[in-house]
Amino acid sequence: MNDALLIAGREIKSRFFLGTGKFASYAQMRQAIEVSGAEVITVALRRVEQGSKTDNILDFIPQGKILMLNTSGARDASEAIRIARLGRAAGCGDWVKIEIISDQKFLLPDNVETIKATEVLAKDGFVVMPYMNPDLMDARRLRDAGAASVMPLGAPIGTNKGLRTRELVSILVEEIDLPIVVDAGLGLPSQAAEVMELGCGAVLVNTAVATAEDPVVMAKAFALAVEAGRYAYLSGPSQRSEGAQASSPLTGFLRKAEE
Amino acid sequence: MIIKINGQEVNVEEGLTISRLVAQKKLCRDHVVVEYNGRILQLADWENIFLKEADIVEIVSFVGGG
Repeated sequence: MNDALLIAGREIKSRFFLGTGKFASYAQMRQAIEVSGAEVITVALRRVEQGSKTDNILDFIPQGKILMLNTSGARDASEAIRIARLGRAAGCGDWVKIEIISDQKFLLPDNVETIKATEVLAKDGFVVMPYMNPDLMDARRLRDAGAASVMPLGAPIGTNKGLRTRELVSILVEEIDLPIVVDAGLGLPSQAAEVMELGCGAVLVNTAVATAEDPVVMAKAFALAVEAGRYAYLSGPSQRSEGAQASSPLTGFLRKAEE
Repeated sequence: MIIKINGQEVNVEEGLTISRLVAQKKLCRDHVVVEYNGRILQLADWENIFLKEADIVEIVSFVGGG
């Protein structure tokens, strides 16, 4: 069955997207990418410090992956646009995750600024993947502005709380004709499976993998859960019911028929 | 002369090129991107740009991120 995710004309086999922050080392990050089979990998840009002779993270990301630059650190649309353009000039390709945060306590995305940045960057040829608060009308605005997908949060960044926005995300799945990628807040593979069972297109995970005791094994666990959840969605889950429904025949077997 | 590098005012010598600046800061030229007065520079431009008073330079590189 060809069930590849199609974004901007590109076929993506793995619906598990992986972030690269917080790993203990780049070597460990590379292992997590390899073991999980993730194809969409996020990176960020930062101002360099004097004499920072650190390795280049891009050297540790296997060939053939889609790099998606996170505009983290941007507080408004103009900063996000600037970061996106810097990243593209630096060879990151044209996939960009717009993350615009003006609230430092809960790190919630600013939908208004995100819509503005999406419009500019989509016109500029970027594949725009906006991180958003799961609001239906704003998702429509993002779609109309040229977004390639919308990426609602499951819970605030790094909280590992799971799909707290379930009702709103399922409305997006129903109403928005773009892949819905749940980004942020997922803490366990079971939560990623839940996201996929709802019909979302993909999940993006970073903290839950990178800060697990064994990030490489956790990356694999998430990848498997995402696959399982996707199959469950495609199979058309059967309905819940209040009363019990026997799964084995209950007709008399040891009793006589007339009893 | 005073220029601004990554948001901080710094005193640098006259006639400094971007290339020299990156070398002085002990940065690996293949790992960084330079924005000069709002314009993103290609590596080939680095030798040809001589910094002047009040220039604004951003030097960035890729890091891990979600």
